[in-house]
Amino acid sequence: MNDQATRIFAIHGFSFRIPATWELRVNKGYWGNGYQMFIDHRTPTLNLTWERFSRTPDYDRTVARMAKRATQHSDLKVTKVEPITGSRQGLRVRLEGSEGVFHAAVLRPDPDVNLVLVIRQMLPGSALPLNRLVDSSHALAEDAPTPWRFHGLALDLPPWWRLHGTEHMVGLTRAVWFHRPKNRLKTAGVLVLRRYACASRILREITIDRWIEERLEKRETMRQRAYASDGTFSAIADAPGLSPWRRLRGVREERHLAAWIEEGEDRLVVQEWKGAGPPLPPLRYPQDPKDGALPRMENT
Amino acid sequence: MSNPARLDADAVAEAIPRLREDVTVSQSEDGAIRLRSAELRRTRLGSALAWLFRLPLRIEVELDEIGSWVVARMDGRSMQDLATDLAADRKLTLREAEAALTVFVQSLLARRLLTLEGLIRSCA
Repeated sequence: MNDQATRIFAIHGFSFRIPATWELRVNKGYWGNGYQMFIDHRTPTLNLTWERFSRTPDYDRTVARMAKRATQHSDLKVTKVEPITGSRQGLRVRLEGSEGVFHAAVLRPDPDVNLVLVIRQMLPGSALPLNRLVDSSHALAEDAPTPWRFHGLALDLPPWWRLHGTEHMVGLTRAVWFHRPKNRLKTAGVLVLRRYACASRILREITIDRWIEERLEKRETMRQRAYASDGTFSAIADAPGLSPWRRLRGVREERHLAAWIEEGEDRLVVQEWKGAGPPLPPLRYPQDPKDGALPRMENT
Repeated sequence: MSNPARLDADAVAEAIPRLREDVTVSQSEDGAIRLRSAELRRTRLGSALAWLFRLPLRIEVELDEIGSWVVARMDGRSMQDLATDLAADRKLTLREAEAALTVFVQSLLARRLLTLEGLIRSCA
């Protein structure tokens, strides 16, 4: 699994390298915990769960739970458990049954971050893919800036932006983040990214700014429209306050919009930010997401 | 125990979509392909109801640019080959192309404009 055949997958403050042919099929959960499943050419390949603990994780107990679940649903038995060495903590687990040998890991990518990943191969075979995934894994603390690389989206966000929903369908990926500084319940900002396929077809007879303008709400007007040197369009959609009280106070509702085309994959990406404080700049990733390194994480 | 009614994804990938023999293909002025089925066979009651509700005598659909592109390539290529070609042409991921093609083929199958060769045999 050399670098050309892999890409970075980063979500909810952790990352690892996966083979380029793998795709995220199931994606449930939030920053604190969740579940994901990867497929390789329609075949379920890897199961992943994560959890951020407030106490010291007990790896042995997690492995015992995994063994119990494996016994309930199949004839798999844990035959070997060994500690993960190096800068990462956790246990590597070998399970054997009539279908073959499966490998799993209970992994804490960074001992200073209270995040534990439970990874399980869904196909029997070599432990090499799992070991490579474990060796490339990283985790970030709650208050760290976070990279996000999934479903073709590639962006780096400041701290405390939490992914709250994704929609991935043919030709469109949509994701919503909320800004909750220091895990406060009140949302300080909302970010929506939409990534459309067939950008050249969408924008065949229209420019990006016209396309955006046609999709504004009726009461909105566009101002401060500008194109950057790399072709990124940015503008502010401005509207009167939503309530009579806000209008009386002279409050305006502003949405900061940005849009650009990813030429290599013919995608149109539209970014929308709304909230208090300084707005997010256009989050256009400067290179192909496949090659996108995670400098902040890989230096750790 | 596997469900026999549930189609295997690999069997569908190997199947070859073809327009039915009684479907006529025409092209509109802007290049879009139009598919027209033979006159629908109905019972007397069905015919009466069709007359009453002004239902069409035959199914006729006009395809958009991508649909026309796909139908023009239904020359014996399998679903997998078509998906690969579509992914390359439209810069989609293979999974996106497969999903889009499956929905498109399903809609043509439901209108009885298409058959999937090889599918029945592999599922039997």
